[in-house]
Amino acid sequence: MAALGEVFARYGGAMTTLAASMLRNRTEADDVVEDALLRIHDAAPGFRGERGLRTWSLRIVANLCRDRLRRRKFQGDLPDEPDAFERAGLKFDPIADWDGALDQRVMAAALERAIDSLPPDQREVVVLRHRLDLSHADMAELLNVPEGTIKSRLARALAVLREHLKGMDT
Amino acid sequence: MNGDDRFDERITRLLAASHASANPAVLERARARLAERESASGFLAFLGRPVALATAAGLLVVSIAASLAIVSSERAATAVTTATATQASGGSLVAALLDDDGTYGLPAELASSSVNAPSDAGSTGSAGQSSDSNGVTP
Repeated sequence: MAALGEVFARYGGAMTTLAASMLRNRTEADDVVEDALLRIHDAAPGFRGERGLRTWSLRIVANLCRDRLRRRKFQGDLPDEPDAFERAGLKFDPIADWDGALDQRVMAAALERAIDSLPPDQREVVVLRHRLDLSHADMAELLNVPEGTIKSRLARALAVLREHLKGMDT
Repeated sequence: MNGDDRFDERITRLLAASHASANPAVLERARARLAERESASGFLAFLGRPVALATAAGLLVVSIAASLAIVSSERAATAVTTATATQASGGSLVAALLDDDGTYGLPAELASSSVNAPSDAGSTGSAGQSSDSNGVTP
């Protein structure tokens, strides 16, 4: 159980960020992380470290999120809330050297709404690549798809995000 | 760097600036669930061990023996009650018959009429007939 605390201390933030970004609901995200910890505990004896512990933990979280999103299709989507950050339980750290002409908070909120509109497979790659800084190779392993698929999903997702934020560009 | 690249860079920087922090309560809840599961699985593990099988077999033998003992004691009690009742009713019948004065427990007149009537009538009839026959007969 001490090892579980260590995993949580190291990767709990990344696991929660992935779950919150995927599910857009903090309560559900916490439930997923809790379930993931139990799975990590159960599967730990069979873990041979061929994949990094972080990637492995995130893979478990991603699978649990996909299950939840699949179930949500039948249960109806979440109610609309004005603040996408608040609903997802995400925090925005202001960027120091940002172009003053653009309100970064407004743009970040618009970006969250745009991420909401992405299909889960594209949302997943955007979050893993740009929010959790995983390499294409790690993502391919984590999602069990070829790197080419990852790149094309990312390109499609960024095109959608760009389209959503077009009016905000200067 | 063209406009699209600059825009993409902004998007990626904004994406990287948003994150969720881990909730310590999640770890506590997970630990509590693990502890609960382990206590439940401890009992299951005990059930899988030979000592559990021996305990179960012992309990089975004890319960069978107890139920047999209960059944046999019930049978014995029933047999004694039946024998006593039979003995008592048989004894009283014999005593009653021995003490009987010929009335069979009925009032004396009734007993004598019921006992004598058919024989008297028969004897009278037969006597009459016989006297008639005696009278007719030369």
